[in-house]
Order: sequence, then C-alpha cells, then structure tokens
Amino acid sequence: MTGFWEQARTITVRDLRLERRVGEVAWITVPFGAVSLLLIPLAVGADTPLLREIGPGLYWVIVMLFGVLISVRRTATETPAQRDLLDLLGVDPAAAWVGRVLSSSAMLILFEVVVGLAAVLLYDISLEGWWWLLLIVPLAAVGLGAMGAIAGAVTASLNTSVALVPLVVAPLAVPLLLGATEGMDSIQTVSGILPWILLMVVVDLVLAIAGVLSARPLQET
Amino acid sequence: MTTDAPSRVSSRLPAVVAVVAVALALLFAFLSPRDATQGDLARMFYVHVPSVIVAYLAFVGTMVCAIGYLRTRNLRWDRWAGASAELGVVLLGLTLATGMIWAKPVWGVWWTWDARLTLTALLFFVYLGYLGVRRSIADPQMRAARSAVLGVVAVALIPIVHFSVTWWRTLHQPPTLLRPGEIQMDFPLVVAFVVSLGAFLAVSIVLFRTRLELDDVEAALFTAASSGRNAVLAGDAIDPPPVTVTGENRVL
Amino acid sequence: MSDWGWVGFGYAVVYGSLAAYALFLWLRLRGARRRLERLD
Repeated sequence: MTGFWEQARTITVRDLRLERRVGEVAWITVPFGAVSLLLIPLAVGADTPLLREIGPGLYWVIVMLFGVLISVRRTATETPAQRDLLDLLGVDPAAAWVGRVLSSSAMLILFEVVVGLAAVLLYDISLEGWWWLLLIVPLAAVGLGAMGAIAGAVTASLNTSVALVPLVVAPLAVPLLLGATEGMDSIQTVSGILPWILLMVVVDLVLAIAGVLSARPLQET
Repeated sequence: MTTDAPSRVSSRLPAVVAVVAVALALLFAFLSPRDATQGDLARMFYVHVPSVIVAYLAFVGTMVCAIGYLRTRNLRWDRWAGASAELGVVLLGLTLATGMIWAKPVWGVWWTWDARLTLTALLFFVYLGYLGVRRSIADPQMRAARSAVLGVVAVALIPIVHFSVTWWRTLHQPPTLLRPGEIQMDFPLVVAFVVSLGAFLAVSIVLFRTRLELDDVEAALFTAASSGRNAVLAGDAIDPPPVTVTGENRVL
Repeated sequence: MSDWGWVGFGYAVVYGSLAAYALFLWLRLRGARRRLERLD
C-alpha cells in the first residue's frame, strides 16, 4: 500500500499530464478570464485612471468567479465508475482530494499569472510591491482550488447546473477576495499587509482540514 | 378517509394561533408610539428585526440537524435541515427586502454597504446555494449526506467571512451616521417588538411543520410509486431485440 | 411616498410573502396528498 503523499502526487501528476494533453485550462479558461478583462472597459469606459483604480479589484473578482471553474473543469470531474476504480485500487479519498487540489492550484496560479499580466497591460496597473504577490497568488489559488474541490465533490451528480459550484463558492470566497485586494492595497507597511495574508492562510488551513475530513464521507455517497 | 374532530382541531391550532398572533402584531405595530428620531418609519423595525432573528434560528437549526444526520444517518434529521434552511432563506430574503424598504426613505438609497447588511446578503446566498445543491440531488441519502457536509463546511467558513467583512468595513468606514436598525427602545416599543417576534415565531412554526408534512407526503409518494404494481422491474430496462424473419437480422 | 406609505408597503411585502409561501406549501401538500390517495 503506497503512502498518502505518494498517492496524492500520482493524482496531481495525472491531472497535470491530462491538462497538458487536453489544454482545457490553458486554451479555454485562461482566455475566458482575459476576455472578461477586455469587456470591462467597453462597459465602464476606457478611462485609464478609472481602470487603474478599479482594475486590481475587478481582476480578483474575475479570479474568484471564473478561476473556480478550473476546479470543476471537465477533465477533473470523475464518473462514479472512475471513483469506484480509485477506491478499489486502495487510493485514500483524502489523498486523491489533496492531489486534485494541488493540480487545480497549479493551474489556478497559471490562470492568475496570465490574466494578471493582461490586467497590468490593459489597465496600466502599477506593480509596486509585486513580491507580495508571490505569497498572495498561491494562497488565493490553494484556497479557491480547495473550495472548488469540496463544492465539486458535494455537487457531483447528474443534475448539476454549471453555475452551482460558482454560486456555492462565491459568497464563501469573500475572505480570499478581501485578503487579496485589501492586502495589495496595504503594501505600504508590513503590518498592514501581513494580517490579510494571515487571514488567507487561516482560510486555506480550514479548507484543507475540511476537505481531508470530508473526503471519505463524500466518497461513500 | 375520515378525520376525527379532535385531531382536526389540534392540527389546525398552530395555524389559528399564528393568524391571531399576526393580527395582534399588526395592531401593536399600528398603535405603538412614533420613534423620536425616525418617526413612523421606525415601525419597519417590527418586521425587519424579528425576520432576521428567526432566520438565524432557522439556520442554527439547519446546522444542528445536519450534524444530527451525519451522526445518526437518520433521514428525519435531513428533512428538518432542509425545511429549516428553506424557511431561513425566505425570512432572510424578507430581512433584506425590509432593510431596503426602510433604507430608501431614511437614506435616499436602497442599499448601504455596511458590514451587517453585506453579511446578511452573503449569508442569503450561502443558503441559497445550499438549497440549490439539495434541489440538484434526487436520491434522499446522497442529498442528505452531501448537503450536510456542505452545511458543516459553510458553518466553519461563515465566522471567517463575518470577521473579514467587518474588518474591511472598519478600514473604509464612511462618516458615522445613524444606521437603520437603531431606534430607542422605550417600553411600549419593546412590547410591540416582542409581540411581532412572537407572531413571526408562530408563523414560522406553522410554515416549518407544513414543509415537513409536504416532505413526508412526497417521500411516501416516492416509495409508493416505486413499489407494488408500480414497481420498476429489472427486466423493464431491456428492450426486446428486433426479430425479423429474414436471415440478416437473426439474433440467434 | 409618505412614511406610512413606506411602512404599509413594507408590511404588505412581509406578511404578503409569508402568506404566499404558506399558500404555496398548502397547495403543494394538497396536490401531493391527492396523488397519494389515488395510488393507494
């Protein structure tokens, strides 16, 4: 019987290999995020100072709403038969969950980086204090990935609407949204930004625990 | 089907009590004195605050029942959780509506982004999502387990959401103004409030019980429709093979 | 709109919605009971 982390790593590698083959995130979800950025100035006015001000916030909203779709991408959803197969092979559902979250988080980081670059270019957003993003981007990615994975496992059934997972995740992702936006607003002082980063860490930890604990009960339904 | 008189009376009693309670609440709300600052508009307090209180009670009930289901796997807990959540969503929706109807004449805007109102709206959508998940799963056991897990996870996150939104508001606090919801509670107003709260509780109990009864009847329908002469047999899924006389389509 | 107008509107929305919800539940219950009787 292979170890927990080895099982998780196998799942992650499988997911990433599948993404490299199919390219669902790279060629569909990421462009979707980018085109949303393009639509906004058409709606609110192509006024650069305005866009510079509201751009970062809108960027993070796009990450929260559309990025979560990465967790429930078609190539990540499993049929009951596939789940049963993993179970029969002795894969710990919690390990499978962790593996899936790691791969979703990796793809979310890709999403955030590419769409973020587009936002910086289109809205002339200053990259002052960009090194904080090295913390914020992965924290947001892991949190969203975990939330999406839990919501996806809860809603996995034949009658699921495409919008159900974003609906469930959106209000609960507010701490991540505030952490990212307020955090980047407070980069002037370390004491200003650190509490927000701590908030995101707490959210990620709570979700990690919740996901691991709920993996087997959800598997059995 | 015969119904004997005593059970009809006892089953109608909560509804009668609720109607009387509502009538009393309306009377007291109408007769209570005007508030010092907000005048007659303060009467919105008697419907706005009881609705949010009972909504919160309903959501606490949902959480308790979700945990109850996860421990006992008895579907009765899940039915209580679902009925409670639906009631909570209706009441929270009314809280938001009355908040807006109150804010417009007082503030001139329908919505103010203070922490409490924003949190109420977020909570509304959390439970709307919870109900959405319940609607999308047909199998009772699967629906019970999945929504219970979602309920517990949501409850773990809600305090964090609450904290983050409150913190966010303190950072961007607009000049302090009297918030809709704050009125001076002299004794006559307290009486009117308590009567209104009682009316909301009475109505909610009736709605909750009716919702449970509806669940029970629909569950009975589900089992009745899938048993007896209506039962689905394994063989029903197989279509007979097309058999023709010519050589090409011979099955055997 | 006068203050009493707003209050009246608010009360109508609240108690009207609760009554509508009750009616909705009661009608569904009645329909379900009838279908159950027909099956038995």
